[in-house]
Amino acid sequence: MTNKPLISIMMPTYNNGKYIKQAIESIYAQNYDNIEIIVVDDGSTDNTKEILKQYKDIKYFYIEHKGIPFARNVALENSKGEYIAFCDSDDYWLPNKINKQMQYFKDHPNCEIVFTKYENFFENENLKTNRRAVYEKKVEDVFKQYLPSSIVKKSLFDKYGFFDENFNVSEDTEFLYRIFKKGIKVNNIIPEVLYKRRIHGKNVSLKYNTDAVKKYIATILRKGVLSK
Amino acid sequence: MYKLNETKMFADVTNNIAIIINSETGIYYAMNNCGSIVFQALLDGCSKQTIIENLKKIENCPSDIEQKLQSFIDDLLQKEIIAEGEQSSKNPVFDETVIKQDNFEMKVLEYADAQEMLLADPIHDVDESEGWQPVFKEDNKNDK
Repeated sequence: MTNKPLISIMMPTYNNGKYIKQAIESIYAQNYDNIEIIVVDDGSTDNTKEILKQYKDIKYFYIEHKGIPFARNVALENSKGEYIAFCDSDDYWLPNKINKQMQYFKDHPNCEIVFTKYENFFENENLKTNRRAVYEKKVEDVFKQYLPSSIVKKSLFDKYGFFDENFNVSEDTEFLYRIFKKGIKVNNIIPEVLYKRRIHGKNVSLKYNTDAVKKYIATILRKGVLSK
Repeated sequence: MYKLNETKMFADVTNNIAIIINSETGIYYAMNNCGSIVFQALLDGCSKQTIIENLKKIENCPSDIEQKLQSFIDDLLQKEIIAEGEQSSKNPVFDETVIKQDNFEMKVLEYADAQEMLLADPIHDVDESEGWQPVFKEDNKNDK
């Protein structure tokens, strides 16, 4: 019987059968023995379910395709952990990610969310030059809050609410902004790359994303301005 | 006339509240209702003169409305929110109630409290119409 706190690791997925095994294996390689992995399959039509059958202890939920915030919330509703961690199904963790973050919590008793540095990696070498330059720059500037790299005390969700399902994108930004406005410190970052984010051409970012995404962000900010 | 300085700014005017994000600095701006409505007219390419004429049609329009508008425009230019643009023939229709509620004052408020958030790269694989993890489209098919 372990006395380590339980960590619920949420992995929403949608048609990422090609990558999910690497993501799962990176979690099992963590050497932290009190975890539960919650995969919420947001209606995949590929071989995701077949791949996951070999992992008997994974909590697997197959739902109708409703988008990432809904999938994340299903994971939260079914989580039993004192802490919540995130691993997107096309990304993976580096060894000792959990141990380092849990040690950080131990060393900083008031910390409620701790991030790590993350690093983009490229699916293949055929990315357009301009996009590659963008993402390589982001690797240099990567000392930023990226929710999937974080471990969060579950109590934050209990206190400030789950992901806002009105945000089909940027739901993680909205959550971070919401807790940030409530005074939660979001600058606890372990200065080591422990999360690898796969770039496969579908990713977008603030400066280079679509107007639709920027409009979502403006909506988040407007909500904040009105509550001032 | 004027247009949005699209090289660094994104603007969204919804429910008579403009939010402008400077994607280079992470600073964002909000305007009061009156400012937002006039700002939208500026983005639409309406001339200063047309805007003034339409504001003057509203009851109790202050005599210094031209100065107020010029001061507002100067502020937007100084903050690099707008740039010189082409004039349109649009004739703005202002919501009289909203303009009067703000006493014809056009305000731009600046916020730097979300810079870290805005300059982060937290967005997932999304598409404006399909949402999360879209099917590949023409403009980035070579990226796959």
